[in-house]
Amino acid sequence: MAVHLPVARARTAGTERVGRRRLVRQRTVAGWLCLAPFLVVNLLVIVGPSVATVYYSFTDWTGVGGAAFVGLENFRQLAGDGNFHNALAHVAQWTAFFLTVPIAMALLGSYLLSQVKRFQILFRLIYFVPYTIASVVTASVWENIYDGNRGLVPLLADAGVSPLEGVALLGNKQTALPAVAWVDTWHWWGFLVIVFLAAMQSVDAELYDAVRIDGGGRWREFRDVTIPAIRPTLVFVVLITVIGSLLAFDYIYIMTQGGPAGATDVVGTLLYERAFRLFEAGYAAAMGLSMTLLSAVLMVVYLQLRRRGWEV
Amino acid sequence: MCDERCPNGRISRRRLVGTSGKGLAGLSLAGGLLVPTRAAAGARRQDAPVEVTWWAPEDDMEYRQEVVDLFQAENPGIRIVLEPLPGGEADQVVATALQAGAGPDIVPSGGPAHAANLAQAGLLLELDQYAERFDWQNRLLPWALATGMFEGKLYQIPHEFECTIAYYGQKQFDENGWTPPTNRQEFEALAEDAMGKGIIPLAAGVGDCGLCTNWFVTIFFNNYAGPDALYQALTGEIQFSDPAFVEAIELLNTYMQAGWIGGSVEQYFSTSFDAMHAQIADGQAAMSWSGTWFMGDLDQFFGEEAGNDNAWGWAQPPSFRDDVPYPLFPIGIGSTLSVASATEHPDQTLQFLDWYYSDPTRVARRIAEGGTRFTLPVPYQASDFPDTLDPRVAEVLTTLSEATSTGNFGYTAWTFWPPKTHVYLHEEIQKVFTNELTPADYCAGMAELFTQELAEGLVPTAIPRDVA
Repeated sequence: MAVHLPVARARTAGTERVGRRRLVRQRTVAGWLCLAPFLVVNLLVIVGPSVATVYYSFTDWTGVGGAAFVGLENFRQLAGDGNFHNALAHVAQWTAFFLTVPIAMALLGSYLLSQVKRFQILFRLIYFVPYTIASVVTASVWENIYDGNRGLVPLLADAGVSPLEGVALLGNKQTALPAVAWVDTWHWWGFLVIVFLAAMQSVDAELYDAVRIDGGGRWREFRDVTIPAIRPTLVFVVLITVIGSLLAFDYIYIMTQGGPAGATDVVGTLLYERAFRLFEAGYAAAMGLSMTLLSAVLMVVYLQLRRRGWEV
Repeated sequence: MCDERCPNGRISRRRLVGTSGKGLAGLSLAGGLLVPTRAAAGARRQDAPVEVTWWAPEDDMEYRQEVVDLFQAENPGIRIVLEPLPGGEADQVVATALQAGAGPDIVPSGGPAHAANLAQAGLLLELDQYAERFDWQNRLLPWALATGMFEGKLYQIPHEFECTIAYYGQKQFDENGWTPPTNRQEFEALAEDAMGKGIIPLAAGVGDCGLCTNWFVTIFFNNYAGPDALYQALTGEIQFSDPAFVEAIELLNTYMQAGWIGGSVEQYFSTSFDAMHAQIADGQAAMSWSGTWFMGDLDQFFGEEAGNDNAWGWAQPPSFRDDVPYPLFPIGIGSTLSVASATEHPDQTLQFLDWYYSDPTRVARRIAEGGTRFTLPVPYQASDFPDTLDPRVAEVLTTLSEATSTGNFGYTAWTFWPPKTHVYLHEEIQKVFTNELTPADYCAGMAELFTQELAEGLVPTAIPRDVA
């Protein structure tokens, strides 16, 4: 028995190893089987159209019928397209706006909310509600508020407050883009408040105590504890803000359609027009691909920062 | 064809069973999965009615269904399957479906440019032989078929026939002793008088629709340069850089900068259509220049129910030069009907379309019930319209029908301009209004683009001046 025991143990261990391997294989197969439907869907609705977009960006496709290969012609044309440059400049302005105004508002809102002990759920709900409203509805409400004849400006003017009297916010080239951006901010910032609040609630309370013992006030608490502690969340928000800004379309399309005189044109509205009004789907695909490449570059920068040890 | 895949994505039990059956039949064939759908459809019982699918904008479906029911009662051998299309993106949905071989038999489009794109891709059926067989040239308004031509062949029939028009507030016109202006002098006198009284001469705004700036370019090109010059430009005989067009845009911009159109450039860019109508109804503005498509909407802004005692009247925008006729009716096509080249039932489909366009009285009744989406280009007479229809609407449509059938017509930008030039027309004019582009440069740019598109064969057929 004593002689056979190690062999038996070895056999048992070998059987266990085989069994474990089989189990692992079975689990792997089961995992892939569970994943398969989603992979197929992904292949159909993400990879397929993506590959098609890359292909069509090198063609003169009208959106209907056949397409002839034109090489890099669409990209050459894009490089010299003044409307595209104008739209890119507006995307940059839009991005700058969204990296500052809604994030600053949300940081302030979430910090203040984190200090509230009573009715916090109610306040969270109130902040979050605009995010749940469809963009068409939000845009329509704000179009009425901005209306130069029946909106807030003439109402204030009637009450004797007239800083913007006679200005049609959506009709003025200088104010149209910020006016639309503000509407999107109204819809977006409540979501950011909730995201930041969740991050702030995981900050160690002792860090705040330490600042207070040091004689620091609220501002130092916010600057030296809150911001560093929520940095990964903040960087994530910056990333989704930048990518979201590159894709800006809905509010602009609904409220100004890129006007007046191209003052609110962004790449999304220009792309839509090229594809569906001018029947230049190949050129529009090249435009879309350029924006994808821009997003990819930003993602690579983000990943590089992470790899170099940045806590982002 | 819609039995297999409907645009709204809803699949009924019957359709699901049918589709599954066809799918199973397809698996038994080596040819693939798409072929059997048609094969199975072809294998219908001999005594079953032929199914013709018609995709139509989701608005007004009940009126369309009434028409279909009426047809089916008279033609039991044909079943029209009416399927709603989502608003806004209908043209894209139809184009995608047609390319996938799953489109309808009767193909709607948002206008000649869209239909021409489909025709160019070989997705539409040539209708010339049917037009001849059914004698459409003599039964529709004489210009109607000319608007449906692409590369010399007929592919589309106008469905929504429209025209630019002036609406005015009867009350303010009566109170100020104004009459609808018929020429430039009368208009400018009225505008100055109105401005002096704090009334905007023309309510206007493109807050809801930036491309609708093309209404004003259309009106000034037609009513200043004139329809003959426009026809010459649209056929390449003269250029859009011709002084007549430059002067037309200069005049438009002069009125715009003076605040006669919309109150100010900024207000013009941001005012919505509802606000525009409301301004006339409550007396803030004297009139508006828009189109017949608004006739059905005006009642909600005027009269007791809208909270005022005003009423709307109509006229044509004035002629801005002595040699341009007044009144002038620039023709527009808001939507068209075509037939898919892949249809399995061309004869039955065309039989329905012929019936659909055949009786002006029935069409007029449809307009009374369903609105101005059903203004088919047929020769209406006042007696065709039922008493239930607003007499002003009947008058507009009768006048339009009579005037255009005798050659008194012009050309709207959204119907007769090729795609790129059309987009240029309504986008770059905004830069003229914001003083970033001169009228001369605007017209020169238009001429250059138009010449390119003319050479590429993309310019829709302009109705010849002597078509009547």
